[in-house]
Amino acid sequence: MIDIQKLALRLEGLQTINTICKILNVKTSSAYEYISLLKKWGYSKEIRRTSTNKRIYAIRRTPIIRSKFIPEEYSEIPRIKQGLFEIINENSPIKLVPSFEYKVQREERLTIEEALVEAIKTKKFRVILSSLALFNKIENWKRLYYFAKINNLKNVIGALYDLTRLFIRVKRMDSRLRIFLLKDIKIHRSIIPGIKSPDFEDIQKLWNVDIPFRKDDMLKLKWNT
Amino acid sequence: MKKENKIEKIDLVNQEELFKLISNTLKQQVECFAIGGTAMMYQKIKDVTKDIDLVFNTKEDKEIFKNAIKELGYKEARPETVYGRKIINPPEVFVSSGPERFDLFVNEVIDFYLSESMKQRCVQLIDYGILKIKIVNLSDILIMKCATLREGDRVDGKIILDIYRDKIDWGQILNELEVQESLGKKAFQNFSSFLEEIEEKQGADIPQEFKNKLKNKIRKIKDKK
Repeated sequence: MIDIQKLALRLEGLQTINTICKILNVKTSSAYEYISLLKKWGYSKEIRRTSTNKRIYAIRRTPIIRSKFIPEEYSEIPRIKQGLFEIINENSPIKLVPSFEYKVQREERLTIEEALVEAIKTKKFRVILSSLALFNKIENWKRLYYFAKINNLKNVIGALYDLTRLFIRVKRMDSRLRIFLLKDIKIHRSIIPGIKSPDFEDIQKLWNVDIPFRKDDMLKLKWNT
Repeated sequence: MKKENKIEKIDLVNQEELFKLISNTLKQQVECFAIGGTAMMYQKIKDVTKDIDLVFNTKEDKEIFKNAIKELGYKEARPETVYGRKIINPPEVFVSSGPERFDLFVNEVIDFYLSESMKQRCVQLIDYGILKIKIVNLSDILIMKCATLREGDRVDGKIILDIYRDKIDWGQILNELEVQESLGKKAFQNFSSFLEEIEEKQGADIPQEFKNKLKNKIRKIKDKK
């Protein structure tokens, strides 16, 4: 039984198949097997190829949480739980310097859908603008609806979705979800209290939401994508 | 037979486990702000605390939290027994057989408000799942320490002033005291008395420039009246 963690520690850093063979003193076929195992457990990632088309692998000492193959018995391996700003910076062209530390102290990781809603709750201009890019990474619309519902932000999500898709590519929203979101337009909401844009009146009227972003702000998001 | 003096305090690890348990017990999402000793523990200024001070945005949120901790065996206690006297805007106090005690407030913390500016300045957000706790910043912790007459709060004030002097934003404190005055609180007077006390009894060193500005503000307020 191979100890994956010890293997990762021994091979930590950038490696090719040849370097792995030298370090572990094994044949290339065995080296390929080890790389495959490390990839499966989230310790390795192919980052580029050399000029002679050989692969370079980046091997870490701790696994990346998003590998769905890490089983529960390895739960004692420290997992890096991405906070709000890590998720936004990974997925958005507009990068953020965290204004506060977002610590996830629970079993489940912070999902894209929850991160989007949490970003809107910060009521900070640049954080919300940057998080609009997450509409292109939504994995589960039902989950987005759930978080929007419990935070009373249904019409806000709808308004921001309609706004974002005018400028950048976004995933297609489920038509039934749109119907459910439109049921929440009776209560007027302000995304950032005191700030209302003179642009996008039609979207603001439809969803009964004050949008803080002007056309120039949205174009920044578009040009950086 | 003499009774042994038990040190009834909770440390960070146990507190985090407690919050995870409460999060699993809560029926609805709740967000609150940690002040006092709890906030100091999260910022690694203190190792243990006697009470867990939490401030909620609404009464509904406090009720939801209350019901969860009641389910875990906490019982309501009289604030006078804890604070030693009758106080304005007392918290709801909950105790159990363990060392910790909950002091629950809604926006108003005895002589101060948890203002919008304080909420925006929070330095951490700890995500326990259904329960999310925001940690107020150091300068705001210092301001709120003057709300009670407890010796422990004076000692905490001295610790903050001695060890974390460089992290205190005196300008921000002055601005926040103005905000508190505008909300109807005797912020300048209370804070000035608090600083005088810790200077005399605890030997804390307070910048002369700040003391002068504080005195000028108090004089202006008295002249207006």
